[in-house]
Amino acid sequence: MTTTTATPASTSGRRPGRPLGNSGLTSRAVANTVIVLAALYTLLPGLWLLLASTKNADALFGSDILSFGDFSLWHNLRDLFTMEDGVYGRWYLNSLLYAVVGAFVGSLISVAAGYAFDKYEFPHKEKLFGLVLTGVMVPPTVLALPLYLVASGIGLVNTFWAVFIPVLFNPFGVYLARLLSSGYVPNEVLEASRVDGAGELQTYIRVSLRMLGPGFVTVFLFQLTAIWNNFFLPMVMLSDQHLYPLSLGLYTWNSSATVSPEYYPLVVIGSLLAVVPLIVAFLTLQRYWKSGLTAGSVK
Amino acid sequence: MRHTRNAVAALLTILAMLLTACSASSGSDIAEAGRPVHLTFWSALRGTQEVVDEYNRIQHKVRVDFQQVPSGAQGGYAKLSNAARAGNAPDVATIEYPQLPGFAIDGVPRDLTELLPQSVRRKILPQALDLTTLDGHTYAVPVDIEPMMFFYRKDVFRKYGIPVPTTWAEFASSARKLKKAQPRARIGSFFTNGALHMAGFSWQAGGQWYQTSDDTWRISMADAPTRKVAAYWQHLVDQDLVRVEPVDSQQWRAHLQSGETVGYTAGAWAAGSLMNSTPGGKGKWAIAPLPQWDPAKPSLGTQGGSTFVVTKDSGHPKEALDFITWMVTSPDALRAKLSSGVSSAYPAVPSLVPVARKEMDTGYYSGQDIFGLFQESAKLISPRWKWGPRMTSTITSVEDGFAKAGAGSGTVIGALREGERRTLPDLKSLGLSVTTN
Amino acid sequence: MSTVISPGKTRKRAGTTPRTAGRTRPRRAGRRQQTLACVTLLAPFTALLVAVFLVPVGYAIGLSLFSEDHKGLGFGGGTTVFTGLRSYLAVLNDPSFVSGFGVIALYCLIFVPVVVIGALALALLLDSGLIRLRRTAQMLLYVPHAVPGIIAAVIWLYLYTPGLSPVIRLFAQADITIDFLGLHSVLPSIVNIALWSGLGYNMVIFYAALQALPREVIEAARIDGAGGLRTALLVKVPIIKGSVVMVCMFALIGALQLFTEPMLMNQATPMVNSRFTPSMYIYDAAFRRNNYGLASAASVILLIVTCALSYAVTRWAGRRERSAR
Repeated sequence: MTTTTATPASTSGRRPGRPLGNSGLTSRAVANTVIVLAALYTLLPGLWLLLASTKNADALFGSDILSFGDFSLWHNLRDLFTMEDGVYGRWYLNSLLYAVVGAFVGSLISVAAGYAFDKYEFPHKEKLFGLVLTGVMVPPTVLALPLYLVASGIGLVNTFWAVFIPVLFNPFGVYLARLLSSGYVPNEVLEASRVDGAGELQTYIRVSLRMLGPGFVTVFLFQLTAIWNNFFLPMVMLSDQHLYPLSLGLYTWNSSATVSPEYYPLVVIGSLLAVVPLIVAFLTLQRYWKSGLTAGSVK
Repeated sequence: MRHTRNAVAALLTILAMLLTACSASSGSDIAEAGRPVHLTFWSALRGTQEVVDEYNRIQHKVRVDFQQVPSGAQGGYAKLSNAARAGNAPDVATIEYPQLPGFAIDGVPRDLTELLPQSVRRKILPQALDLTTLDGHTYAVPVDIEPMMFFYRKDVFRKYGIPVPTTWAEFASSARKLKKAQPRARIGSFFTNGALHMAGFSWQAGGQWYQTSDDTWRISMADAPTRKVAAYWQHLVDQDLVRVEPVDSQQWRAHLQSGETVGYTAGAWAAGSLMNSTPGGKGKWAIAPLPQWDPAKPSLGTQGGSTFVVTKDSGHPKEALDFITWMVTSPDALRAKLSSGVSSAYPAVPSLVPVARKEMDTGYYSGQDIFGLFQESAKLISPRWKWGPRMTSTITSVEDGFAKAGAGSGTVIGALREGERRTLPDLKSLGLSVTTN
Repeated sequence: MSTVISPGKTRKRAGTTPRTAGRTRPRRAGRRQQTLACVTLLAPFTALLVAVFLVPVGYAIGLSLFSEDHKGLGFGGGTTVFTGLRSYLAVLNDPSFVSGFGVIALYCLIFVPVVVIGALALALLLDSGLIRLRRTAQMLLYVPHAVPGIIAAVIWLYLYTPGLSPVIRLFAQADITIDFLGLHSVLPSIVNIALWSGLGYNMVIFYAALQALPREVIEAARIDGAGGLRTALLVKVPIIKGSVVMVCMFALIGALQLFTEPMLMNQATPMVNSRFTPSMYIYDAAFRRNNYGLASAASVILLIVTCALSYAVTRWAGRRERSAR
């Protein structure tokens, strides 16, 4: 599954070479044009979102996107946080709780397990790891309804935990952590620590975890994205609006928008604010991201 | 002094005895020293809060806690099903006629056959009660019954000399005349989300999509009368004589307001809805009876209408039923509901019609006695219709087919057949006895 | 006898062979400690594995085999009995379920070639050295991956909605009406959303694979006189064929779960019905048709199909890896 072993930081194994043959100006122009077009394709929806956030309901439907006649950005922001008693703020908080706290706790759990798989031997180890891999193969959408059925059976539906506990489960994180542990934490260090008389768990916390640092961030980022993106599970589990994450909340407002068009600008600006955290996280932590990608190859 | 004290003590004792005697004879559940019975009530109908407030005001034995829920199709039914599954459904809930058999199969509404007194039964329009009585058992109490009517822009009809149709043949010819006179106008719409409208039309023509005999469901959504109706509407769509759009959509409303659509076929309740959604149409609209296939043998179906049920979970079925009875038979209840806004819902209890008529602002329809019209039409409602075991599922499939047919892929009758076919898995997986024709 | 005793440890064995100073702890006592540590580290995850994965799957299988049974007309509620494969037969005979897979197949037919060729082309271009500001371009192209699925879907839905969309307005001024939400255009519109989200991500994967190519092979091609394009197509691509197939396979597996985008479109256009994809079918069965038997049977079927596909991919990849070594 891997094309390369885990490499920390950058992915450059080979600098892109000089243009070969008689490419000249035309190839260069064509290539750059294609890239520019692709970049435009990528960016224009985001640009639309930005511009549309400055318009109120009438302007959204009426005016040209580039006109700045009615600059309603602050007005929209105010409406966003006051609509329905500030439920948007609630949704934002919920998303942060589910995603950030969930990813953090989940990563701790996954990294611990991955480390254990890497450093210890025990009976049926590979069978258990096989089970972990099966978990990787099963997409979250397929698990959501069975989870709902169980939660419904024990009366836990429509609670914070109904979403929080399932998102902690990250078998891919375990797989990744096992790889990263073997790459970042050499066995000799472990031996030395044992010889020095440190307990196993002390070693883990004081030594291994520190060495796993970048790996931990990678696992954390992957899980953060997965949870922030998770739509089916909260949709199935939650019916109380106050427990909704952002994704579900905006979806609900959008369905109201067909009947009450005043929701359209709120969905637009709500979406804008929703993408900011992840983009910031991405741009600042992208090297961990890339290393995780390389380590886990094409997963 | 002592005499007074003795007298007071005697008086108090007598009073206490009287009170105990009274509370003992009033029966039911006022067990804990006169605390009122709490009923939970879920509804999506407008004006329900006012009705509940009125009930709580006029009596203190029962206190109703009302919760507004989304309309059935928007999640209200899912909410009810989930609550019933968890064992905490409300005491009283609102279910529309088509979905009632489905809920009865799921065991949500309580069997009211024994609890509903004959005196109340007599007050309800027989066709309405028929629709809530399944396999000999009554599962709900009708609130309103909505005969289908034809709403039209009389100013436009007058302007172009279009005759108001009394038969479906005339409807088609008027449609043609209108299109010729004003190419941008249409006499009505084929609703891509109008499975229940189509059901009403098939009902009128004598179709029987669902029958029960020998403890078996007999399903036939493409019987001869239905085929006639489907072919008729297919013709209208193919000839571009009607709009093709979803009812209650932005574009439908826009067409009504602009005069591009000058007619609308729906249940009687739509009169009030039109007043709310197109206030600019005041004085321009009129209501006519729905066109007939054969004027010598008139018949009619309904579109819309709700019922109240007492759920099996309810701990106070008698109080719940009393509350329901009051809501559907009391003029005060209807007045309270109408105080919240315009509604032309036609009561299932005919004695309430004068109340509704009095509260209605007749200005919009230029003084037309719309309730008189509704009353005449209601008499024509055919009693032979039954709703099916899984209407929610059937409606979804049929409307999917209608949307495609409207876009040119498939036919109206094809959509109905597909709808029937796609509901079978629901029925088979529940173990129901089903045959299809 | 060893003289160094680690704090907090119980020495099980007395009398050990003397060792050189510094290496005194016998293995056996350490192993017990190790076992304890191992269990502690594994416990939380294993608990989750059981609670969040094994139990729900087992419960779903159970529910699919036991469902509500009604006799005759069915009024008055049913009883829960063992119904065996009845729910599975009902699901497999349900045209809506089968058509969902048909939609997924069509979706893959359009999406997979486009995303693979697009991402590959971009990666090759970035690798060719012809691009200025390569790092910036990479970063920009990758940004959509950071946008949560539902938000991407909302943005594009609004760009497809007449009245809101500047694109539609632009074309309308030239008297051309485009309908992004019509019967035949709705699936390509959904593909476009997935493409927008997935292009940068897959591009990075291909780029990483290209970076790992040995320099000698490229040099050899250059010496042989191959131009940039020929080198790209005939030399680079075949070597990273493994990555290409992997991306295809994972796109396929992702497609099986398609839910978010069509769920949103379902609100906007009747051309996407509520059972458009298998995941939507499952949701509809549970919450609108109120039929847990159908929903759990369909979940199990989807689970089996997805696992089978994933397993096939992993086996195939493992085999290639082994043969490549």
